[in-house]
Amino acid sequence: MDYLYDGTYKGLMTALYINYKYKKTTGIFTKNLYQKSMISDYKIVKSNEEFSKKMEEFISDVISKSALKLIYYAYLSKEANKEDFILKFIDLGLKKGNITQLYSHEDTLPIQKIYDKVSKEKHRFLGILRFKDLNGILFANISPDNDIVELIMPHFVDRFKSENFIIFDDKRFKAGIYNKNQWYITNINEKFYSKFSDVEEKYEAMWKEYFKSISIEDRKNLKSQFQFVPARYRKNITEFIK
Amino acid sequence: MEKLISKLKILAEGAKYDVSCSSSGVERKNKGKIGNSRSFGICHTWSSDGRCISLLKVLMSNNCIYDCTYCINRNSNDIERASFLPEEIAKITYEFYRRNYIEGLFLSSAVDKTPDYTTEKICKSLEILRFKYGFSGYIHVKGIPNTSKDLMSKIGFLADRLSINIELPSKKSLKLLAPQKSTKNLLLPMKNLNNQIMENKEENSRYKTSKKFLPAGQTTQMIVGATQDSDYQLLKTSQNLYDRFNLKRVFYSAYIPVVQNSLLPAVNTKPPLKREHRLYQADWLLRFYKFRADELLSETNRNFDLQFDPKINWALNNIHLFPKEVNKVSYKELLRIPGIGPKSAQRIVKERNFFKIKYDNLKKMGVVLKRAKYFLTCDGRYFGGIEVNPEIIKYKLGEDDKDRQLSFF
Repeated sequence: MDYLYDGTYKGLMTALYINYKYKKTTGIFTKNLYQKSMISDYKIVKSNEEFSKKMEEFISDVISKSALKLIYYAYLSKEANKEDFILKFIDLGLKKGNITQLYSHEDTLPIQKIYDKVSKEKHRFLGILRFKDLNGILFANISPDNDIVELIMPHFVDRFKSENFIIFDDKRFKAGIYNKNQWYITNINEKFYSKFSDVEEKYEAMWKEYFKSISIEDRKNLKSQFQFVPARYRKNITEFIK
Repeated sequence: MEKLISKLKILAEGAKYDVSCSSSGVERKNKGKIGNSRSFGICHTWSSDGRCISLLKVLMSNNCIYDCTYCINRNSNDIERASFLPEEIAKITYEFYRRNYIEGLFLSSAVDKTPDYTTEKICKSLEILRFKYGFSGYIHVKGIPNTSKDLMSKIGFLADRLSINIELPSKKSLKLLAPQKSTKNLLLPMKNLNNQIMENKEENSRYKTSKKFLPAGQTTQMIVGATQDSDYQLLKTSQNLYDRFNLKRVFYSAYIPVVQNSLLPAVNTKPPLKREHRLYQADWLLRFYKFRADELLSETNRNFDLQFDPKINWALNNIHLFPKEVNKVSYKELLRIPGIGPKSAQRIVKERNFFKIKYDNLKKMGVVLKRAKYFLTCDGRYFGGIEVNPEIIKYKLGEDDKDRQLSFF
């Protein structure tokens, strides 16, 4: 039987718990992406706080704490078959123990690779994210491949602890919000359109001028620049906006 | 604002030939109002030359009392001159940082009036940034040779990293091109700063004082290709600096002729980028692969081969050590195999505890088999397909290169 969950992390952990505790599943899928078919039967799993906690503890105890981190990153990835990879990964862990030490095994390689990709994107956004000053509130628009808002929030919360800020993921309509006191993630239904102050434009102009001046003409290498800053990210990066 | 933009343009122009832009080496939580620092460093963007931009890299001033032949800011050069006020620097850094354009500041300067006068102004800028704006982000400062020792110490408690550029690796070249600089007035402050860093570390471990002295250490830079100095001379100098003064990094900068002068390469000479690349590879081998300069070059073999990288060259010259068995040899030895780096070597060592490693696994672990296959065995089997002979391997590697170049057309 296929298990369908609501797309949340808690939902996924609940589905995994039912799989290991009660009945083996033929596959875990998100509810709204599921294609019903003639052959397979399905069951909708309701997120359950207690089951989810227990599953997390189970993974930490039987495999390792770092395995839980790998699984969490895989959950945040855009990878289509991630639930399947996670199942295989845990299955192997139950047999072999701390398999985070294993890289090239067929049941760990997909998770390791996804983890590397998500980590790389997380790290990248610590740098390429751009804030605009919206009358005292800093606002950033991002469109990352993977769902990384909650991964990057702690870094910015510490860095800008005396500012109010919003990081808005316009692919997922999801925002990380910090109000000088605490941060949280929330869903937002529409895009932000707002006028920024004159001062904002001046600093943008200054930054763009700096960006041009710092380049050395004799070493021009646009190919390398594209490798570091892929085209898909450029629409949100101040200095690449014409 | 207009005026400020044109100043920024001039003073960024003057700073851009300094290569270092890294923001790594300190992990620090936000201790002020704004800013923290991450040990791995963060690149914020990349300019059209493909170089990472992490820090706002500017000069305090490009007014210079000196006339170093290779330098764009030398006083005989007819260029626009400008100077920042300390408050201006601090404000721009703060506003750029708030928007997450940058990871911090890299403040350098031409020698305006006197070394102490220049360093005072740098110091003032840092004080405004640290105390008025509560800035807890990364600061890299250029050390101005001949600055008084007390002033240098003061800077050391405000900045994360300091660099004094050697620029040229021999007394002879310095005398020729930068007669105001001497090995002594470059190396002595490096030595003093290193002593202070060590003392501060010791104090911190004993008393947990919160004041840190240059927590991200010192770096330096050398120009490549402005003089006759060999790669061996450059790399030996680097090795010495790492050994004696615990430098965090040495940067290499392919010389771009900015002046017509009989002592220097002609203005239209292409910068030796390939040579610079080989030096960076070799430097990497010193820092992360535990190679010594003398293993890579010698009095009789003074420059790097531009066709093959330094590690392959070393392996070909020491072919009697190969092939190595990946299931047996130590981590240190794995690192000596061309095509295997620290990451893949670590993966191999971990994975060996579970299974015997097969040839198929190596590629998945990130080993570059195109090079590695000639230098290793996997469970006793050799996959190179040819005799372990340097000449034949060279020929094969060269052919791969040719194929790659042809495929561009």
